Amino acid sequence: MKLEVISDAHNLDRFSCENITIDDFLKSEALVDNNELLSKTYVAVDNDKIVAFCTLILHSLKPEEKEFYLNVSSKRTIKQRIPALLIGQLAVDKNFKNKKIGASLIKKVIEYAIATSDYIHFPVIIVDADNEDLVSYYEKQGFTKFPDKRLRLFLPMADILKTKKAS
Amino acid sequence: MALKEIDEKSFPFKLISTEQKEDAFESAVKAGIKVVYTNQEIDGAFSSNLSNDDWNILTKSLAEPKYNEKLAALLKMESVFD
Repeated sequence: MKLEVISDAHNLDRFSCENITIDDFLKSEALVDNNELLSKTYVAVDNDKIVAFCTLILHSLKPEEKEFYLNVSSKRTIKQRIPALLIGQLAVDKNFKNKKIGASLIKKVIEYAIATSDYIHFPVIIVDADNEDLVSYYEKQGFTKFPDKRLRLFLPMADILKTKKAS
Repeated sequence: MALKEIDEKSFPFKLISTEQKEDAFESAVKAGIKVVYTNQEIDGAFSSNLSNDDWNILTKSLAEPKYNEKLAALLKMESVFD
């Protein structure tokens, strides 16, 4: 099985993860956004069939509050935004579930993030789960759930680098 | 960004006239579109807001890197990709 960047050469029509919104994103938006450099979509290809995909987007997190903070002791301002790598979409075709394809995609994203950290830093990877079952799935891969944004999880890059170094 | 008074020149959005806004509102109502005016950023693909609790948990995690056993298992897992 190969992982490739989405292109005109891929037949996207036959993909179905049983979520119409996600299927429609792959078929009508992923390639356009990829070509416009807004996001990057990777497709898992097995015998010319798309069996899974994931879309990566640069994201920015900020607190809801608008106040400006100054840490008096360190004389540093507390950051108002945190850059993040967002796994915007990650889905496996309904006929290829339970084959570790999703976990392999997450592993590949983390490997890409580690490689990217040689050139530019972003402190966290975030992912939006489609439902509570997928929240549990991402937690099993090491992500932590946000208490309030219940379908969003995060994984600090510092944890990734520390874990990678110790492994 | 330091706090400062916002006046018409520094206001970060382009102001439209009341007449234009009402026209847009009326046409949206006729089309059955719900119209919400807000000066807050709305969550999207490229940015989003976190509650204070979520923000504090995130920033605390960033400041205290931990070894992650579940992640270690994932990184050791054999990938399905060539």
